[in-house]
Amino acid sequence: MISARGVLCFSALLLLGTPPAHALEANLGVEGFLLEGKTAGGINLLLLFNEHVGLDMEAALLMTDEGTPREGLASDEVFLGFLLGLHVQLQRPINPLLRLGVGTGVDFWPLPGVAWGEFKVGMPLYAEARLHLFGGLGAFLRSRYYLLHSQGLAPGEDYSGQVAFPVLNSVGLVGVF
Amino acid sequence: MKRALSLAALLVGCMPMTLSHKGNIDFKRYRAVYVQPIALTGDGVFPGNDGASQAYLIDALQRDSGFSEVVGNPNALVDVVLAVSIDVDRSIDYSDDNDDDDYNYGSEYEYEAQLRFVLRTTNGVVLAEGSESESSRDYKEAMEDVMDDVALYFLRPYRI
Repeated sequence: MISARGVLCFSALLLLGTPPAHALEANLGVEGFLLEGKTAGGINLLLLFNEHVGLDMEAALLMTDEGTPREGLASDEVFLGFLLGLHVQLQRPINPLLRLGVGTGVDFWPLPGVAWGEFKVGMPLYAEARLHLFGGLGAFLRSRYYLLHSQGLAPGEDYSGQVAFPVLNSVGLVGVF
Repeated sequence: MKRALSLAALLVGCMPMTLSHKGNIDFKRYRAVYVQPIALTGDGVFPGNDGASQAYLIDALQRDSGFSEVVGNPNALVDVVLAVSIDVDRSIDYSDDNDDDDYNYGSEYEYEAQLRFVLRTTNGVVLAEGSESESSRDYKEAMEDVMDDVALYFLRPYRI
């Protein structure tokens, strides 16, 4: 006979998930970028070597939405290119449910939709909150700022040149292995 | 507290992002370019390739550059003249994977194409000049890559 208390404990365990007790942990999933007038999304892989240090990799497709203002790109063209990111990430577990992290590395933006060989590159500094959900699932929210970047790579800047806040935000849903 | 909440909302919300390129010359002022026949030198040059190279560069500039008009006709009315020379050196490739490449390309040579370009106004004022280099085991690929680099140098301005 399963008691109500047992069910409650089991549910709580499911909700809390499993903390990163392993020497090597992989978080593999999808990542979507919160952009106005553009759509970007792809895969994200975080390999944690221990509780605090990991290697983060991103590969995403970048499209512009139809009808958004543009110059130098055909009005019916939507494909712009990719984001390929490689970062070192440091994490700090706050509790079994939540980890906070910071990372830096290289973001490479090849833009074959503009011209073959055209690219932008940036050195991001990002902060993220990673939540362990039930059933080996995790979610993260990441906000990045470019410490260094190519001319013409301008997160936070709109078409008219107004800069609200120069960050690029993304969210992800990952499986924890 | 209200300010902190606004900042938090901003950090998790959708943000704009602009990708742009200003262009290395003023394409509104210099709209039409004449591409001179390409001067090919070096021991790796295949004879009779000048015309094909010029045609390839014209196509690449028409596709990617900010020039409204790209011509190979010396009598056309243009704003600027692009002079290009390519030196192609051929060397024997001794790398270990040579056997595979022999099978693929029928060549054991490595071609290095070094390109120099000068863009002048019709009065002779130099607007831009530079050099590019590319290498490949395939002659055509080395030539096309180095000319693509020139087209990329004159990439049209964009803002997206």
